[in-house]
Amino acid sequence: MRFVLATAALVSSLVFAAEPVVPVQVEVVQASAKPGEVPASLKKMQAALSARVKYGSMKVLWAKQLELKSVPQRVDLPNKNQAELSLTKLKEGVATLEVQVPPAKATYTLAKDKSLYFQAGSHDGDDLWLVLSQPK
Amino acid sequence: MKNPAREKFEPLLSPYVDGELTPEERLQVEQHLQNSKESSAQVADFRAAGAVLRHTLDVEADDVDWKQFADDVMARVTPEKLPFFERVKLTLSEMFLYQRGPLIAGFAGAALAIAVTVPVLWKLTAGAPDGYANSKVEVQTVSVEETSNIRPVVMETDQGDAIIWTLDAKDPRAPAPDGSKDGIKEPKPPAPPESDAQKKKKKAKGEEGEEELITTPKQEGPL
Repeated sequence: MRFVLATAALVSSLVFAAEPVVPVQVEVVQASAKPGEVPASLKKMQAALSARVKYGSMKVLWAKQLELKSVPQRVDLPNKNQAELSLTKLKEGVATLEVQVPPAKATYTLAKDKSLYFQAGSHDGDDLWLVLSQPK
Repeated sequence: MKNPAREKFEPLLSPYVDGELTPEERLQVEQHLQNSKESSAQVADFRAAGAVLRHTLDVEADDVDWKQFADDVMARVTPEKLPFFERVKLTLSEMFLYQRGPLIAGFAGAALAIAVTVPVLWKLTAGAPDGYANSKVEVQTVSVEETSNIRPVVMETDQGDAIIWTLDAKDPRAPAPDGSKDGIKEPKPPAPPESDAQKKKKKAKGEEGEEELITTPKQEGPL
């Protein structure tokens, strides 16, 4: 009987209390104006940023897929700053995230195969970027 | 003239042949048979008749096909088949009566399996994970701490991506405090002089000014 009650409780919790979760690919990228190498995976980012800054070299310092919920998840940045990511809303298949990289904070909606490039200060004289994308 | 001993033992002869007497009675009958030829002859007749009867039954039994015996018996004792609905109802009622625990556990397990597999299948079959239904990234709000010298600049690309620049006020690329676009400096090649016809055409289309979306949001609140 206990097993049955436990199973029923588990099913109920799965069905009715499932907290929305959105997977996000998070990358920390160091970008420099100095000439150098740009990985193929960052070519698109380099092209997007080239409207304002022409970066000569870029490299991924950290990358991980995070399952974002309403509780903020922290990402330690190499410049001693700390980014916080959380899911604020998930409605009709559109997720709204809050990204905080002190002293700046932004909310934005995710899009299929699109990225948000969030400048996260500087590191070793170069620019540091937080890149949020749909996981591959 | 009748022998009184034979009168006493005659009813016991048939049970004696069939092995139905107690050991004491059997001993008494055997002592009687030693003294009575009539009773001995009768016992011999009983045994001969029994042998003939057994042989006859064995011969008849050999002629019978016993393969269908069990099915035939069951066909006679099984009542008429119930309608499908009645059978299901009867089966369920018996299961609830005698196997309630396993039955409920089975239903709970099935519900759990559905609760787990349906979202997984849905995720596998869907083109994009939930949350990515938009076709382009839309930055809704950008804010910075009041004490900060950071000036945020939001830029949306033609491909649907978005860029948030957080430039220091001292950074030559930072936007001007009044929110004009001049704060971000990037040398551009001088445009060739336009002819009057081109100017008129452009004016008619309303294409004056830069097309790039560059936003310098307020320090707090939505864009």
